[in-house]
Amino acid sequence: MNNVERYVLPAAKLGQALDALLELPDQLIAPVQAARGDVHFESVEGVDQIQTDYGNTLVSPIEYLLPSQEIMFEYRLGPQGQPEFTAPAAPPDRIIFGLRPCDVAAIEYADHFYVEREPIDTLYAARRQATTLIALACAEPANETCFCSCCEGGGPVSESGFDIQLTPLGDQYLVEVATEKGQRIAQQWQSLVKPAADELLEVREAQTREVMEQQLEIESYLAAAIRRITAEKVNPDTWEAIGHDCYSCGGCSYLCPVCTCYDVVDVQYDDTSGARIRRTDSCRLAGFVREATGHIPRATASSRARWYAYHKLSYDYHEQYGRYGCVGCGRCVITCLGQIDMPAVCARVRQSETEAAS
Amino acid sequence: MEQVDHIPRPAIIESIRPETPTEKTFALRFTDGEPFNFQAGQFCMLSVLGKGEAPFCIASSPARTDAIKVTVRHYPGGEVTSALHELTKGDYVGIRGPMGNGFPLQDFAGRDILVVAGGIGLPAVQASLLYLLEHRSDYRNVTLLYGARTPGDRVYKDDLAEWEQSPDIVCKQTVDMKGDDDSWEGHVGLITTLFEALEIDGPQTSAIIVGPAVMYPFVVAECRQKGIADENMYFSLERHMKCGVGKCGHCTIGDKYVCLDGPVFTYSEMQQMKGE
Repeated sequence: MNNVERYVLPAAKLGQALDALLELPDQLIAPVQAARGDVHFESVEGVDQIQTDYGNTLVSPIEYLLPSQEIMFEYRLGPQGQPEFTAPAAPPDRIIFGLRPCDVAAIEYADHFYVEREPIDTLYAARRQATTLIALACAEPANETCFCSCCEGGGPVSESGFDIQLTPLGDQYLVEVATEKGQRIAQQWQSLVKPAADELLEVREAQTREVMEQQLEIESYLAAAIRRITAEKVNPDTWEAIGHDCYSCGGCSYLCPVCTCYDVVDVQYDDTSGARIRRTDSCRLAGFVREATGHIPRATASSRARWYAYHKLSYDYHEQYGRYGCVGCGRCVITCLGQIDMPAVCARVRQSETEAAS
Repeated sequence: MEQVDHIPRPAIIESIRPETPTEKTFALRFTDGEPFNFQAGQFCMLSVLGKGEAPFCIASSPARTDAIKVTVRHYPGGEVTSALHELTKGDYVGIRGPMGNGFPLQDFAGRDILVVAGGIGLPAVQASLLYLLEHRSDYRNVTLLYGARTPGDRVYKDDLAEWEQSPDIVCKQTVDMKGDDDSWEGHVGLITTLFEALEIDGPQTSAIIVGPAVMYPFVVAECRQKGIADENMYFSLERHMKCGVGKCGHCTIGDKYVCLDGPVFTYSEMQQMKGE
């Protein structure tokens, strides 16, 4: 990102900074701790609701751009049955505070997929346009399942995709303002921040290196998996074994912030009105590709596991999407019952290479 | 920048023609007064509001832009095809599209055209056949080979009868079996058996092939035998689709979105596809 303005915000003033966000007319979405301890992103009305000390949420805040279910249009049938359509209302202006860099990367992926790669998805584009992203970089691995540093363009600090980014550095935050939307926020923080010295970037770089070293060491596995999968040089037995361990529950793709696939269904309010909705779908479910004839092109869990890995990691899709379909957030590691999460699949695919070579 | 239209255009059912016990052809006229411009081989997403939306190929001439025809096979488990088959003249549907790439018929100018259709594949090539006949002088020989399971399973029987008499097109039909139709005096045998008596200039021929997937390897072998190059064999593929615009992810084969990159692919392209 060019022309990034850098400031310093004392950690003690974060509360005031968040308060200043609440003065804006935008809805503020921020991490909130539920009664039983889980942190999730939610609309807040007071600073005391916001939890700033958290790893990462199980459900990605990308849900505010890609809701698990949304109305595409509503219809009403006239006296002769002729339909009249109503488009959804314009989305609210929103500020999302506290996005981890992996989720910022996932949003960059979605921006490319839904907006830059034509045709433009107008529902996503309108929501995205109305949303300001305030990233919160990681000063330590957010969770023990994180592997963002192994992913292309990933790491504990975002290099792009945010409007404003806060990096915790001891008793202060480095504040990076990257866009016009970010400048609007910076205006609110004028009295709280002061310009940052260049040395602060070096301090952050040292901290970033340290965080990356603490993460899982699977970089070579991911790179090897990408090569093997693109070249289709994975032993079919490997996919068989991975498929054997797959429960076809769809958990990985429902939680994956990069997964974009959706289902479309009509709902009837009554005989003359209703809506078309789209909702998150999963290619790990057999019905995902089931045709009207009953034929299922990817009928086995292993063929679906292979497809999932191919779609996310093959260079063929990298060419279309501009980056690989994994940001290293580790949510699949948390959710997968069969221990065939992304790092595990990469390790097994790499092992498959070794076997094939010998 | 091209945008996705999530909202369909309203259209009224002008007529419904039963083709077979399981297939009906719907003539649909747009009621918003806007033209519907499309290329032969493109498809549309057809809605019965409240029931759902599904992709269907457009089976009418691209020259007509105020109305289209689609032929729908009823699958008992299919919510949209079941709902469509219950509609009557004067009912409304929703249409999004056109979608997909279509057959590059302009590029075929000056060449021989071989159309091979199996069963419900004929509607997918119907717009192309009508276009070719409307621009007949742009092409050399035009041949249609059509195969169905039984005589009663054939769609567009009137068009086929007319084309069998037409000097503009060589039309050959076959059925896998006569079934209980003793009046059938035509050819009996798989569609590949029509290739034996076929005299075509292979290298000068572009082929359009649509039918059940099980038919493809055998038709490819026959076409190759006749000297038709893999890159001159055009197929229209079918997959489960939800959006039609390359987003919902259901129709992917390898790195291709059938809805966006296809549904028309050459055999050369199909050989490059990775995965099921």
